[in-house]
Amino acid sequence: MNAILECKNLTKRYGSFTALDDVSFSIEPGRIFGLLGPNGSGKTTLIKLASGLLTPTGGELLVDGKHPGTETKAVVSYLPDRCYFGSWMTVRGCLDYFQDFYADFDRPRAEDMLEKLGVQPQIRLNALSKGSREKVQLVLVMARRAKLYLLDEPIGGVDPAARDYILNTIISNYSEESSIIISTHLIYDVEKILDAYVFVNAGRIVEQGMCDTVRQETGKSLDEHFREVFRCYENR
Amino acid sequence: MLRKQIKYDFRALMRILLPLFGGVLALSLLGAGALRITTGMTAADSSIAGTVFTFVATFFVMIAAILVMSCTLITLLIAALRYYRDLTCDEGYLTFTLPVTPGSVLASKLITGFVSVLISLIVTLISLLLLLYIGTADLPELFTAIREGLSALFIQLASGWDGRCTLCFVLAVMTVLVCIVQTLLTVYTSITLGSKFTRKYRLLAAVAFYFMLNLILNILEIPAISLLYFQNYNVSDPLLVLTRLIGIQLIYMAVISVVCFLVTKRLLSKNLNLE
Repeated sequence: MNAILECKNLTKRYGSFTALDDVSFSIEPGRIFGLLGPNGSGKTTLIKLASGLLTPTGGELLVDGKHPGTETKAVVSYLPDRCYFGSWMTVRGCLDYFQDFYADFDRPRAEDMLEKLGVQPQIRLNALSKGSREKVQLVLVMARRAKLYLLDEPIGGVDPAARDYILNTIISNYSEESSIIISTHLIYDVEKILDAYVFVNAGRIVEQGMCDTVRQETGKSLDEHFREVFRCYENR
Repeated sequence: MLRKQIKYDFRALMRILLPLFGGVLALSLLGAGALRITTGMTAADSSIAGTVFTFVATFFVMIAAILVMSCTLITLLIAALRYYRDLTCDEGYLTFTLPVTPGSVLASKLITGFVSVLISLIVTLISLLLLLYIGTADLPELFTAIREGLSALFIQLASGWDGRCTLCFVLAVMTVLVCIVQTLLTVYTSITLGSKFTRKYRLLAAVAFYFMLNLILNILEIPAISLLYFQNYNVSDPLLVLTRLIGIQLIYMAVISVVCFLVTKRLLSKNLNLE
């Protein structure tokens, strides 16, 4: 089966600063993949390269066998770490927007999730709290029947109850033919839903593998393993 | 997809511009009313209340006139601001993850900006006519003089009108339209360049790039036009002189527009810098 995401010697530089340095890995379809690392490690840069917001300085990145462009954007559902709708838009306006541009958008499912959230469609985004806006955005992203979901820090900056809601929404709304990449530094909360992981630090891959393998071989949670691995890095 | 992009770009622009256009028209009506009242007041109305009213009414007319004259400039600024927010701020994360090309994004901004500026020009014209027609209704001799003067001008033009005049007129209209396109694209290119080189001061950088670009284009314009125009200079036919000048200006602005479009499209495709 072809990998849904493939990075080959991927490098991204901003002037003299190297955000990603010779990164190579691939993700099979049907996995929930954790892109884990401390702040500034290159996670967001990788997510942006996969979503077509950035172009690589070196190497190659393929999404569903193609370079990022209009074709891949039609099958990739991206959730950034900020609100990307105009605050003046209504929730209904956002639904219309997604329905118009994405053929895979499941509007009834999105409306159902919003109703369970208690969000009225006529309300403007600037009338919602920050947490509610993030949830609305997540609902829209997860309501697409995409091949690849890119979620950049989906649980950062929200309370623990909201984190549980977000993780449950992610689990209950993706199909097994799709893959999800979750970029986060809050590993404790997210590890229960992850199948595989890659640890990133200073733009390089430190370690990658399957979450169950870590638990079986080390007897530790992924969060504990992460702390151990990165403690070693700090002590170098 | 372009049609859908234009739909949403228009919605975003018109939520601000429609109230602006409505306000300009309403203000020009009120200004016309105030102008009519002040012109209708006689010397006998030189009481304090009359003087204060005249002052307020005159001030009101001035504000109306300023807003009417700056309607197009304000429209251009709003179109620029919309471009800035949709392409270089957080909303850019949505714009550039849509399954559309950067060229399509730019084309949609250009089309909606162009139509908005055209509408603003029409609103300005209507507002000026309202101010003139209603405001001078109590001075029929003034309006009659203006009307007779314009009629005389049109009659003189019509008597000597031929195909060359038509060509000159058409080129002049096309030049105005291409000028709007070039202005918009220069603004968009400046904003894109500004965001490429700095994140913190991108608005300031955009303004700096705009002035720099305009300076360069104005400097380039003189030798470009002189090179084309002065090869066969013939002052005996003023209409020919005017037609050539307008035509060369049109070609120059069209070339600049194409260059700005291609440069901006390239920057958006290869050098996007949202963070």
